Amino acid sequence: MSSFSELKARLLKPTPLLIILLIAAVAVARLLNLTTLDTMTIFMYFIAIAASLNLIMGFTGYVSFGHCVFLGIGAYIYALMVYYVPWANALQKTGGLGIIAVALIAAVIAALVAAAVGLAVLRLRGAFFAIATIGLDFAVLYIVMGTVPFINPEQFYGAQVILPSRCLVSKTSTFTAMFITMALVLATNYLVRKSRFGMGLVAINEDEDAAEVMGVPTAKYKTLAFTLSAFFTALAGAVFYLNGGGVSPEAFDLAHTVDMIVMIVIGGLGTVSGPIVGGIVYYWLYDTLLVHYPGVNLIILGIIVGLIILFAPEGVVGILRRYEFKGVKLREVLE
Amino acid sequence: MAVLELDKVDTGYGEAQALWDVSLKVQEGGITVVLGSNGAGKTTTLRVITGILSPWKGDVKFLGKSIVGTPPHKRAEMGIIMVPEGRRLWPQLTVYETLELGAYTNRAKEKFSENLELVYQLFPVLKERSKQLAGTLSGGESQMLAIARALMSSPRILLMDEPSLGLAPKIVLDVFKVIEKLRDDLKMTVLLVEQNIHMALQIADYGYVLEQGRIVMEGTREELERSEKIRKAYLGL
Repeated sequence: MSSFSELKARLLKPTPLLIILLIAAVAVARLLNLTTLDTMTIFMYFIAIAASLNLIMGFTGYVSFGHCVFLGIGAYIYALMVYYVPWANALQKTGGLGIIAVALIAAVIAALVAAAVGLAVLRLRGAFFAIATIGLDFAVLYIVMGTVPFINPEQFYGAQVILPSRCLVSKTSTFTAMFITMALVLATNYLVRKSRFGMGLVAINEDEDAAEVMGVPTAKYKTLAFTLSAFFTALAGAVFYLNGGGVSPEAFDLAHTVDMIVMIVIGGLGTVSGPIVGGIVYYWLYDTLLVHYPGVNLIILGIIVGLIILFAPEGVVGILRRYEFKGVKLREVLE
Repeated sequence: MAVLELDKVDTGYGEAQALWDVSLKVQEGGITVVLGSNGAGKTTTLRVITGILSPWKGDVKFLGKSIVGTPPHKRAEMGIIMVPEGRRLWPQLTVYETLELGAYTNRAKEKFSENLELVYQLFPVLKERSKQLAGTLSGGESQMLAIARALMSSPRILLMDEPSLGLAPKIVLDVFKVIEKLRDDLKMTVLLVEQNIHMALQIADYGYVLEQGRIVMEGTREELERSEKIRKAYLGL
């Protein structure tokens, strides 16, 4: 029984508890029909992409500014697959797990792109890396704009792949698929943070040269983190655009990366609970401002984000980690 | 036996050559020092040894085998561990986390608790401060932590890049006492690179003098101390 109580003690720490609570809250909200399926799917999508970017940017400090490229790759490959491949379409019709199965193919392709690109551009540091990823985003965007319309000139006008009704799935299925995606990426974040690999990533973030001479295989680890991050971003992108009924070049808009960055900065870079807290806060802000101040909502959001970065660069979780609660330093329990 | 050997190494950055024909040996269980002023090529020499920089010509041998082409993290795995110039601690990690990360290599993982005990014994202050962030330590404590971090990885050879840099004279004395202790009590093999020639000569077993990328002199401590050139150029006697 000791292993069970050990497991219980481990799961009752704040971070795993937060993940479990979030997953339970979504499940309860779904069962009790507290809000629309769409709202919840989008909410989970926000957390999922924030947690995906956290794997590279939060843990290693590398800002992958063109990260939305993987949203686009995932969404396009998914859409084209269900459009043209009958078994893929049949598979996704089976429900949430079927969608995940098809989306995994898209995610693996995105991960391969990330691995190939990562090996080259992760030699660059700081701003140079960020710019290289923006370059990648534009390159893929133009490839998509230049090729997709020729696949089917009548249907894919302006490189938009709008899914016909034969390829659409129920909102319940996309909800389930996004739920699985979010749970997977959060669990991955937690496992990475707890592992030797995660320790190496943190060392890279703090001082890459020091990490290298202490025995951390920095090139390998950075590429692996980037690949994992791209994998989950593509997974989330595929499900999200399926939920929206199709994908357009808008998926490659850098504003999506800004969303992800803002969420993990609000929450706290490099922490597992950061993307969750950031996702909740950001989604709430985004939604409230959109409803109450349409038209100027993004301006207000921008100002709020600017203030957070100026005055609380460590984010919510980062600030909490500084405090002590009942003699326990929160730093030790908040991952 | 020589733990580490550089054989006629030439290297540099881009087109700028920084080392010419550098040969040196680090003997087991002793403190070997490389002395020289700013820009003499001391740090470059260490970079060749850790593998951050590749030699253009010549060979680097560890325990008799060439390690040219072996990446830095693999060399760390073999036991070539550096205490970098300016400490290079991870400021946002606690002392304990830093030590945990110091034991990153596979060879050090099993000996973690043993090494931790040893390190806490050597530096009791680190035990007291184990939950403090590394970035909040004083200069002397930081240097102790940097050395402790390196020791956590069970080094076969410890490379130290100017451990006296930026420290108060009293603290420099403490640091050098620690290095001496590492040799005497732990039989550690140390390659020490220093500008503070006066201090370095006091603990050295054997020394090399680098000038503008070339080894201009070598010898035992007594030989170097007696040398007119060193007395005039470096010690101001």
